[in-house]
Amino acid sequence: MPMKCEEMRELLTADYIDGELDEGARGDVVKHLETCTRCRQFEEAVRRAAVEPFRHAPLSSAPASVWHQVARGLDQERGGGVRAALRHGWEQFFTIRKVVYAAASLAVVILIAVILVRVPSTAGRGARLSSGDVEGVHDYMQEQFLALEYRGNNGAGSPVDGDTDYDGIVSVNFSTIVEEYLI
Amino acid sequence: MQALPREILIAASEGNRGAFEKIYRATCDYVYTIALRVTGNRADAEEVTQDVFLKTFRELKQFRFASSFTTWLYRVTINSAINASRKTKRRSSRQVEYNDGVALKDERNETKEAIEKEHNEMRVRSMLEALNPDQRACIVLREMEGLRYKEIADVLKIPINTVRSRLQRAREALLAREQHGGDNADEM
Repeated sequence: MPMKCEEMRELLTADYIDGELDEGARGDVVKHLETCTRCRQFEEAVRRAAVEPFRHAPLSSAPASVWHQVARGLDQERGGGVRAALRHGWEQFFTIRKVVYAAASLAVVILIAVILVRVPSTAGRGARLSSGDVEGVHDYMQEQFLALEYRGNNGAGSPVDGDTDYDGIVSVNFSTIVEEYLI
Repeated sequence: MQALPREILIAASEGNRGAFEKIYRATCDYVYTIALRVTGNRADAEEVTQDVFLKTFRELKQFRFASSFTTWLYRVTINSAINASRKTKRRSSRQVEYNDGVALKDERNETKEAIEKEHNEMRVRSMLEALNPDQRACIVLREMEGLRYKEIADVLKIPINTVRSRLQRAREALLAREQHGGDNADEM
């Protein structure tokens, strides 16, 4: 068999018979078929044995029972969907609860740590005063002291219980706990 | 298989059961016929059709419309049918085929046209049986659905040259079968 016929037969079992060739290639095949009896017979045999029976095969109708089965499957899936959603929600609830528990535990640990750190440092000072309070008392004390010094220097009477030292310096008896603490 | 209106596909993808039923009505015979041709028996074809539409309902929600819906539906159908065909072959296809033959004879009308139709149906089924599932899929998509090589390649996700060679091998096998008296066996 000449090479040309072998090439032709490849095209006759696929591209040519399926209309996949461009105009030029199709023209070449048609010309060959006009002159080659064996290839023409081959083409007819292919059409008869492997193409025509399929082209006359009708569309089959899906039985009605198939839709009933599909519809039942959809109902089950929908039911399954609701169940799945509930299960998912329940799992999420537990997941969220775990996170909340973890956060709460962490907060408690931090709180305890802060208390433990802060309590000894404040207890050492003997009183629980904020820095603002301390500054206020200090200012007040300084003001009072200056006033006393001023009065002492000007011969005025002492506004508080106090003694005049020999060198003229007034010593003041501060009688509150806070004052004692600060002095 | 005709392309479906996009709005029906969108409505079905949003869970609209009526829209989904429209898709089913428009495509079920194509899906069933392809499944029947590839599996070779009615029971498997019905099961494949059912599976294909349940899968379609589930996966329409994720369908991006980047590819054609019919291409996607062909692909799901062919893949399900090939799998079913392989499973059935592992069991025993002979018994199933015998039962199908009995069912066909019981249903047939005794008109000449009906007899011819039935004869052709038996012949087609017998011819497809001579092929492996991959060749069968290519022949069904080409000869019965009229798809171009490019479309078949898209459906099966294979190169065009593979489509071409599968069709060539399938036709050579059918030609050889005919030359060895394949049709005489059908008429028995």
